[in-house]
Amino acid sequence: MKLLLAAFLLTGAAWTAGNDKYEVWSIDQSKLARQDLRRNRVYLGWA
Amino acid sequence: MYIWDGHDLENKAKTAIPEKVDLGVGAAAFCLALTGANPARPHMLTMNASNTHAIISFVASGHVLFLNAKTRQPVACIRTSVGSTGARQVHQSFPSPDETYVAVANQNGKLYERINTHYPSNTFVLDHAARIDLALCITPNGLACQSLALRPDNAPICPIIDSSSVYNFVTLRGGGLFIIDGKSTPMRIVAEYDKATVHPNGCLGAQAGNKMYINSGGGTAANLYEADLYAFPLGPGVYSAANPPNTPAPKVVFSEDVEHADAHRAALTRNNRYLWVADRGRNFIFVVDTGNDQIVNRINLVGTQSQDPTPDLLFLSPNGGHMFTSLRGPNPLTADPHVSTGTTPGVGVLKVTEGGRNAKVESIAAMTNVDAGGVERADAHALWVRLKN
Repeated sequence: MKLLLAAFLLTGAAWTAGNDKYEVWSIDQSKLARQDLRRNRVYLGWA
Repeated sequence: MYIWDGHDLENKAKTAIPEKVDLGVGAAAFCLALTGANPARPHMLTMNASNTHAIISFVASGHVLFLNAKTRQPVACIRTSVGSTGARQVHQSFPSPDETYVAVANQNGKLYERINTHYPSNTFVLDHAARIDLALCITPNGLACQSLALRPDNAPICPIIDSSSVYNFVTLRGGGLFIIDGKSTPMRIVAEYDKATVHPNGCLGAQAGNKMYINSGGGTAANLYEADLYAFPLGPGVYSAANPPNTPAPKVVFSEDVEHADAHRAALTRNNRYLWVADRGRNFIFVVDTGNDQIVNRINLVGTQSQDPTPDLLFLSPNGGHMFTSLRGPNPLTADPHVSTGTTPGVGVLKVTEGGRNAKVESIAAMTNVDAGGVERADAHALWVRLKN
């Protein structure tokens, strides 16, 4: 019974740890916008 | 492009150090070499289901860039087509869950395009035979796709694909909606809705079981304020070209056509229990119970972390404990500034509480891009969470 409990806890811990490995990606859209303003500014409309 | 370790954002967002990938160097040169034009204004970011590739949409130049998500290196860059309008833009490109294609909303080109994809071999092909010209096409009911009375401005904004990878819900800037079979060649309309049924400027989509949530928003000079949410049914045989217009009818979950409202994007909480909808004009998040489609809370984001956060996109952490939101800057580059101007550009970190019904604003991971005149130019918009496993 103790072995089963330990296996369950270990599996759960591994699942949690694995799930935690992630990245958050975002983009500052201002930088390339300056190129855009110089080179080919176009009407954007809604975005 | 900023990439944070998720655990860092959960625990120490203010001091977390992101990896920065300068798209203005490698990726820009890569696209210029392949397409003869510089990519401009990276607006949206998505990833394929396997999380092996990032897909970046350039709204000003009409490029779609594919990056190896692990190495951050560009592997393909495609410039979309010039439409009958004489313009091209990519507002959002969205990968099908089965990883066979990416649907592309060519906004001012008023084209709906498809890039056929094979991620393992880095093969990405713009399929010209698949596209639909939303400015000039005729619906299966024999109606003009674009007309003043039904759908006055068919710039596609956001493609949302259901779990079958067949049905693409395509929001339109001027109002109305098309549901498009994204698998057929050419792609074909299987349901049409007019502007009275689905209002303008929608962008969010989220599937919870057998329904697809879609919204309408404000954010334009022509439609200053709006926050609507609809639920469309999903299931075998629901959508057919033989259906009359506006069929099947969506359920209107809420409609708030009031000052400062601007619903933009959304995310589901753990187990799809609640749908969160960001209102960037009013700085709060609607919480909708997906069981009965009732608004059960509005999470106020204004406080000590930010006086005007302007939440745009939302994304849930893998274990559901945190929600992230992109926050706009003081000089927004997209959407009308009356709703898209914020004071704290970056990514907001929200601790999810009460099983998804509420949240606490924990911190903001800031972005900054101060120009030579001392003006803050940073403007966060795109957002995605990538599993590293």
